Amino acid sequence: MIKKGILGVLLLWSTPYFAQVFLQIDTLEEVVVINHYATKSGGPNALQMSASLEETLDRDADLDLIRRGGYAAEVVYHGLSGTQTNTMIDGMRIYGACTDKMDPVTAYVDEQNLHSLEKKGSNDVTIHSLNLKLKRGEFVPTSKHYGSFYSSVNSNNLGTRYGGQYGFNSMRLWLLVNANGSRASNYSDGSNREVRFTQYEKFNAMASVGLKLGRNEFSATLVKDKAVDVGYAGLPMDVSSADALIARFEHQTMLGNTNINHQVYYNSIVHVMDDTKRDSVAMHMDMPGWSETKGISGRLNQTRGNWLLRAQYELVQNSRRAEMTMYPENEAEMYMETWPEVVRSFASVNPSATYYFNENYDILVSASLSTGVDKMQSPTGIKQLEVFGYTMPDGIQTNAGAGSARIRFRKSSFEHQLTLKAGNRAPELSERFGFYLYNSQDGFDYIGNPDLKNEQFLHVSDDVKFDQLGQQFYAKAYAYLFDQYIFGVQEPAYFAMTPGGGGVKIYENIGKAFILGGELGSSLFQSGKIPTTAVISYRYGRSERFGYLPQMSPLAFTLNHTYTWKKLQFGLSNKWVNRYNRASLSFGERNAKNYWLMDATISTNLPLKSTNIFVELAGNNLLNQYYTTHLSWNGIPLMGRNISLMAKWSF
Amino acid sequence: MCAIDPINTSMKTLQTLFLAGLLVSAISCKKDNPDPIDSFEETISSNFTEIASQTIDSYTLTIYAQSDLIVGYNEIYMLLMDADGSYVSDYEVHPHPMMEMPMMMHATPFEYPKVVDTEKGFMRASTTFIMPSTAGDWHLDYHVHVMDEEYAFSFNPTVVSPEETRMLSFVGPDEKSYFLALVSPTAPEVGENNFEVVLYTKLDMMSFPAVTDATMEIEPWMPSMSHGSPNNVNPVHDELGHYMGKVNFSMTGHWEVKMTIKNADGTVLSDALAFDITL
Repeated sequence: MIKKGILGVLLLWSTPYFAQVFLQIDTLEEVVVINHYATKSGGPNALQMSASLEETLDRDADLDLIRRGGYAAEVVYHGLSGTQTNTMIDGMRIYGACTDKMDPVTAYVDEQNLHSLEKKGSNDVTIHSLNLKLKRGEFVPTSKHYGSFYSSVNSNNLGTRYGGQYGFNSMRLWLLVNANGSRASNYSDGSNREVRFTQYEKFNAMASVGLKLGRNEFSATLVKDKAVDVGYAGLPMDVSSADALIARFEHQTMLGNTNINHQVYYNSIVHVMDDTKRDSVAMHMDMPGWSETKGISGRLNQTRGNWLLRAQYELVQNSRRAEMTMYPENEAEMYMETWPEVVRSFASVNPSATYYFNENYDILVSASLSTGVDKMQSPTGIKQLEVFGYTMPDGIQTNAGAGSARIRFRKSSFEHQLTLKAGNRAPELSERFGFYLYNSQDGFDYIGNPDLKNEQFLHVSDDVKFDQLGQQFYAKAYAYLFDQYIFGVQEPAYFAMTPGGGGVKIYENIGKAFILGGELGSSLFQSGKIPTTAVISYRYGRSERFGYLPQMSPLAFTLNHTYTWKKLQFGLSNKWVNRYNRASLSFGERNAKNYWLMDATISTNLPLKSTNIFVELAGNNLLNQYYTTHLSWNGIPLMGRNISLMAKWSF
Repeated sequence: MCAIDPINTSMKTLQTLFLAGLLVSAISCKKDNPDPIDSFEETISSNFTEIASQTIDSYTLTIYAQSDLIVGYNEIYMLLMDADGSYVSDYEVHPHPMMEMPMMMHATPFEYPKVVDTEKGFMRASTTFIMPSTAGDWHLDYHVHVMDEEYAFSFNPTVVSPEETRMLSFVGPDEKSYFLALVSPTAPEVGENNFEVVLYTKLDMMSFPAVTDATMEIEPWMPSMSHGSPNNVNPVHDELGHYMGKVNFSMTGHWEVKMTIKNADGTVLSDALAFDITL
């Protein structure tokens, strides 16, 4: 009985059309299914098919989006910073090439590339990691071709999206290719005013092939993603090109009852900012950035008696640099390296074991250890650091580690789990070596600090679920305690480099900080006429020295209903978010008013011979609310009412 | 751009060369064409610009500089060779720089030569030209004492204005004229740079002594961006009117190093001084 349950770990439940849902049995990961209707649960993932990846993620109560324009929103997990959460693409490390966080990792894939998002809880060095799992083919007994074409249009920003996919599955070979494009003009906010610099254009393609030779499975995947002409309303600059190439080769086999998986990967990002479209700039600047990552990683899963054993390893090398050239009138150009080239190499191991005492109790313990070195390659970078009195050693050794334990109790309709995790994280590149990185929100130039210590954390999470007769309730409470919290502290003696800047902040370990948060949710009438979900969430964070922590989402309430009438499916989503009055002033945040968003969808499937046409009409922000969230960079207003129409033909 | 002080570089090169020369002489019993002098000359010619050379009787004096002579502080190097073509190691030099203008003559600040290499009699002096040759004729006279004889060498060099001013003159509230010349950086670069200036005053047309008791403050500034840089070290007096400090440039581009100079009483001599330095 127990074994069966454990085997279920690796099972993927697949039903036709929308309802592709993970059977979530063991892993600590929580999974958000992307681009599929999860009709059964009808939960926060009762999606709009035409939603973009970011819109999909935004519906998850754990996640919020930092919006700097109409594209490339940055995902925030429980209000943690991007350096405290680690975003990966299918287990591959990838690091944005922009010093100003204009290119979060999520911007380098298209939702059509993705199968799901895993929110990993405890088996990683970082507190949490988000893993964007790529789609893949399957080895099946009978060969099958499948594919689709889709297109959608938006009324608000005249945005269009289109794409096609082709796949082939067989016993020994699978193929999967898709190509996707999207473009949009500026959107209008809830007062029908155009928000300039919210346009974007993107092209994405993915090709993946799998081969099975005996017990060995091989696969190779290539993703190319390029965005051009991307506006960033919240920043003083836009992006002319953000280009990524992601390549991976994977091998998987079973040795006895051990599942072994290895991958070798490479990714490269080139990110070029652009200020030529702005009406007036104090001075023209060029700010390109590069990031290149090579990695090998692998994992072993073994079931042995009542044990599930797992080990993971990683060898990663990331090289990043960014520079800034300014062109004053009639004077020599000015050049500096905002990220002097640094190669960060690290190795990590992560063993974990789950023991199933009986049907009701299990415990998981996990450890992660990582060791690495940061080597500055740029002589200019070393000279720049001299300005602040730092002498750069040959390399900065970085060790980090974390340990976690989770106890779970399950009995019929009741589940309770308690998770404890403690560890520390190494400073990110910007925190350690950044050179006058302008934060347009607080108006300060940030300077890295090579002497930073690791940030310490302790995370406790308590989850309770109760499920009876199609009525599900859950409650989740969590806390994060930090010591040596890394935060920018103003240094009054230093000049801002950016014209008009407020000054300079240097990353420092500022001592203690905490985040408390919780979620209450219910999923009701799932077998009834109007399946409904409701979620309330809230987060609160403070630091010892600098008051409120930034990015703490205020009280939010989401209510979703679905309804099926004949062949039509209706969805209605209401989200009410309380005012944000705990802005972190030392982070440049501003308070935000409360808002209410109402979305609705009507969709249907029209079978056409052996194929299907899916049509969806969706309305977002139907009340045409003028709103900004606590994470709207510089308070930019978000999109007003939008009607979108989508059609997708699948075979 | 070269990160290292060029004088030190050339010194190091010379030292290396002498070591190499010793090594070669050690081996020379086997090989018979070691010519360290050739290499010495190569080093001189690759590191310095020959400004002029003059032969009087059996002695030839050659003067060198880092580059063309400019308005401002110039290091001037010299070598004396006898009729056999050997370098004279034991000689004394008294410089007499003079500007000859249609209506008047005046001297300019200078420093006596110091021996850089005893064996070759390679000397380093300095002259701070306070105006370019377009204003008149510069006479750079050197009275050389060798073997109890005096030889009056006279050169007529051309002094040009550099692209960026390296010498500032001002009149203090004491009504004295001051000449402030930038010695270092000569090849400025991002990061920390030695900042060295030399300060002279004018007693009369023929006398320009060094000021050794001034205090100075510096502030590097990027005028196009309106920002400075942190952690600079104000120059303090070292010797012979030379003041040494540190300046930080956080990026390339056009910098101004603003300076305030006070005399020993704390009276501000000038607070409107600035050197333009473009990296």
